[in-house]
Amino acid sequence: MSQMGTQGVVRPYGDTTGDGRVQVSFTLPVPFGDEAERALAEGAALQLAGKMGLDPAMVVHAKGMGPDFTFFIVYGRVGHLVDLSAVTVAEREFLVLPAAEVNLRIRSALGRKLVVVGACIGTDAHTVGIDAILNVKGHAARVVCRAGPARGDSAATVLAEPIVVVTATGTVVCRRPRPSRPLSIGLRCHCTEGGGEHAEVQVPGPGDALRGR
Amino acid sequence: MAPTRHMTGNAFAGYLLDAFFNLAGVMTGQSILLIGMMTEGIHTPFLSDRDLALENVRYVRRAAGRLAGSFRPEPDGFVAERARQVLGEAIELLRAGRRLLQPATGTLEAGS
Repeated sequence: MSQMGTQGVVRPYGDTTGDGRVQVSFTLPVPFGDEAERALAEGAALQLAGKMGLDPAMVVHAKGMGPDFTFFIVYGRVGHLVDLSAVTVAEREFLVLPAAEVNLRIRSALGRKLVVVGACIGTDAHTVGIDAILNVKGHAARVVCRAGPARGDSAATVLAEPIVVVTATGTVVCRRPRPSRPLSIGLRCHCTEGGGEHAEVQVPGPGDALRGR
Repeated sequence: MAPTRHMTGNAFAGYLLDAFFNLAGVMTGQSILLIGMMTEGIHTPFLSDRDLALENVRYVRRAAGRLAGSFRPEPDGFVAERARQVLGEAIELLRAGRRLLQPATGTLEAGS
């Protein structure tokens, strides 16, 4: 430990100091069927490993996944050195607040408890899951506003006839919208009484800022 | 069910956790297993992550066999006690949700 410290040059440590041993795993779109295909697939994996700087490299696991793909685990030795004096530390672009600080901000900015009914933003797998769960519960979703990135980073356009059952105030935290993939926010609530007729929508008007970043 | 909240970014440990959750699912005779992904919380799962996840659940289902038929938690043991506690908390949460909703309904006017 002491001989390495935080300065100087280091290599990956596998079993002994400076042996440079690493393991990587990846998938190639090549079949892993008959013997010829397997030989070709492993050769392809070794070629990639070589280009990644692994020399020597060894395919320790190869498995066909369906007819067209092969998964590999490769062990090998890298010759690359890590120069600790040349390490750059990237600064985070946004604040990460501990729970207590989040609560403090809600208290000072909102002045009451924040009630989250159910909402999802974005397009990743979790949004799909949340959407599915809310749909299973039988509450139809509606997109109530869309970002207007042409008018500004935080501009939003309210779509026609939004329907929401309760009013809520809060700050939506989301990615900065890009013209290529406009932000859409769908909020959904459920009204147990009143059949949804005694409902009113309160969303930002056209051009109103959606706060956040 | 997948152990989402316990995932740390250590995909190797995550794979073990997924196996334990798969085992819990098999032992309790669940017909639908939501399969955990070892890279959950890191990135959208790779093709290989999905394949490994299937390999995991297939192994556990085969290895555990008909273990569910012999799995009988003690009536007042830790498992039964915990189940009662979680169920009780779930019911209380539903009641709290209903109390929250009630004052918000029927008071707003129709229209936009």
